[in-house]
Formats: sequence, structure tokens, C-alpha cells
Amino acid sequence: MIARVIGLRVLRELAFTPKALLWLPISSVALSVLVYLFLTSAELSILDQKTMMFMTAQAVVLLGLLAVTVTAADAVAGERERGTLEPLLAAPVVSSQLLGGYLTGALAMWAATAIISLPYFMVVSSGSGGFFVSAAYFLGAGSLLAVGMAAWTIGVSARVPTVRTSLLLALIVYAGLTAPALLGSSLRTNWVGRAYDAVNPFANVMNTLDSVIIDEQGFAVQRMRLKTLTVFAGTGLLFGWWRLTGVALE
Amino acid sequence: MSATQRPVGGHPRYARWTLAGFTLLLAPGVVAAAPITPLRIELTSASHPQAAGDRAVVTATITNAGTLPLDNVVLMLSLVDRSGTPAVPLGVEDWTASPAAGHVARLEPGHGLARTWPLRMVQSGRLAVLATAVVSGSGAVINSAPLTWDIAPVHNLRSQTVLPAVVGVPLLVVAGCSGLLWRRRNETKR
Repeated sequence: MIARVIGLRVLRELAFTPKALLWLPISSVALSVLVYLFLTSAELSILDQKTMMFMTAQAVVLLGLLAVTVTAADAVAGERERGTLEPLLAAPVVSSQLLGGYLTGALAMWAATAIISLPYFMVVSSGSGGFFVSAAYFLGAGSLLAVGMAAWTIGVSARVPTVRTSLLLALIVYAGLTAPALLGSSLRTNWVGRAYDAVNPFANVMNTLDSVIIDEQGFAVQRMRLKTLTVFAGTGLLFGWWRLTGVALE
Repeated sequence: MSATQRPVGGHPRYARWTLAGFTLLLAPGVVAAAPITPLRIELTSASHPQAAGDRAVVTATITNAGTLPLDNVVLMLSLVDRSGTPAVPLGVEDWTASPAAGHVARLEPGHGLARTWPLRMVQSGRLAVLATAVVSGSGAVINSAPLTWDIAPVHNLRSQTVLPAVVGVPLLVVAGCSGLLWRRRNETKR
């Protein structure tokens, strides 16, 4: 019940704030530009349709994960800075309820971005016959990544004094996860690059989508990557719960 | 379809006899100086892809035709977009889920190594595929003759389906956000 109240409160703060709401039209316009370029650009229009689907999914995961990261970074540190954390902690609230509430708010951004992206994904995949399988993997793997990222960031945000510090740390982690995966194959030529690629949750989502959409490989190939993502989400939830336990005791 | 290594280019007619004379005179020296690469390489494809999205399976085979074993032989695949000038090298990992290179620690005389890459044509254009073998011990490098395919573009995206989504979705999102803000303003007034 308390988790629901916290979740709704975070949702209201997100949904009714002009700055937060601006994120959704921006995401939508960015995806519109990408899909329009698939149609008109001389270089992008020669791509195979499955590659276009993969690039669309990649853009959505990047946008959605950024929104989740920023929202989660604001969770506890923001409440502390605005002075709303103390009244909340005066209520009989436990750390799992706090985590559930903050997660609901952060994951709402992922859900909104994913819902907005579905029409684009449908248009780009029309005629390919791969929409449902691709969308299922995109939503499943992307959601595991979003849960893990949100939980880890909430955990960091729990013990950081200001939103600025929390946001900075979260964005450094975001860049650390996304940049190597986007830089391509040159980084995977040595064992360090390959090991980082294997444990990096963002790279796991990208490799899953590449494998499912472009190479049309089955679930057996994805099992290890999905396990890694599940571990990332699970450890994130444990970390967030542990860090929020300290906040609740305060 | 098969392509094996063969010399490229030719000589002007007037130079042929001169070249033949030099060859006869210098043959022993040339043979002694040239790096001995007793490696044969062949690149084959079971199918001929025609359009973006088509698939092809290419197989590269290297054979040690010499009398001595070769150590640390690497066999790799390269893709080049020859649609324009200059040609543009392409990242193999975008085209196949298999690793771009294979390695064998020792290739005994008469033995071979074959490696297969299932490729998906992820873009249109004039595509050249070639295999390269590198012998780490002697430093010898040998290329197969390229397989060249003309991949036609496939335009599945149509403006009738793309434009409504590209214009309509942002408009719907802006309308939805405006509605939420309007509701918020009314609640605040109350």
C-alpha cells in the first residue's frame, strides 16, 4: 500500500511536471527523425529492413534507459534535497516498500518510451514478419535492463547528499555502459573487451536484439545473455534494498 | 561458384620477350628470394545473393601444399563495399554472427582448414568478399580472389505508412502531455 502511494507520488511528480513531460515529445521526435531518415536518406535507405529494426530498437533502449537513469538518480537524493524524505520516513515504511515505490516511478519512464516506440517499430518492421518476436525480446530484455539500472541508481541515490552528485554518478555509469557497446567490434578484439562485453548489461541487450532481429537466432542462443541480465536486475534490487534499509533506519 | 587465387593484371606486348629473357636469366635467384608460401586458399559460396536481406554461406578453405607443417595459421573473412570509389571496408560482425577469423595452431602438410560464414546481406551495393590467410610463423599473407555480388536494394518502407507515424505519433504525444498539464492546472486551481 505504501509502495503504491510512493509510486503514485513519484508518477505524479513525473507526469505533471512540464520538464519531465518534455522528455516524451523529445523521444518521439527523435524516433520520427530516425524513421524518416530510413525512408529518405541515401545511405540509410539501402540498409536491410532487419538492420533498420535493430537500429530503431537500439535508439529506443538508449532513450528509455537515459530517462530511467535520470529519474532514478532523483529518487532519494531529490526527496532529501526537497525536504520531503523526512515526513515520508516518519511513516511506518520499510525499505522494500520504498524501493517498490521509487522503482514504479522510474520504470514508468521506460514503459512510456517503449509504448511510444511501438508504432515506429511496427512501421519499420512491416512486411518483415518479425515484429512480434522482435518486440517481445526488445520489451523483455529492455525491461530487465531498465529494472537493473533503476535499482542500482536508486541504491546510489540513497546515500548521496545532493541530486547533482547522484545524477553525475548515474550518468557516468550510463556512459560507461553504453559507449563501449556502441563503439563496435574494435574493442572486442582482446580478452578485456570481450569480458566487458560479456558482463555489460547494455551490450547484452544489444547483442540479444542483434542476434534475434538480424541473425534470427533462437532462444537457446539468448539464454546466457538473458541470465546475465537477470543477475544484473536481481543484484540491483538487492543493492537498492540494502541501501534503502539504511535510509529507513535514519 | 568458386574462385581461387590467380595473378592479377597483364604486361604490354612489347615487354613480354624482355620479361621472358629476364625470367630465364634470373629464375634461380627469384625462386630463392621469393617467400615460399605453400598455402592454397579457396573461397566458395553455395548461393548467389541478389537483394538486401538475402542470405549466403561462404566457405574458405586453406590447404598446406608444402612439405613442412605451418604454425599458427589465421583464416579471416573481409568484406568490401565497391559501390563507389574508393572502396569501403565493412565490419564483418554486422553481416554474420560467426567470428570473423579462425585459427589453427598447426597445419600439417596436405591438411586443410575450412571455415564457413553464414552471411546476411544487411545493405545493398556491390559487395566483394575475400578470405585471407596469415601464417604467423613466416609472416606470409595470402588472399583469395574475391567473390563479387551486386546486392539490389529492397525498399519495404513506404511513405504511405511511414509519414503518418512520423507526423502522427509526436502530435499525439504532445496532445497527451498538454492534456495532463491542463488537468494539473485545473487541480491546482481547485
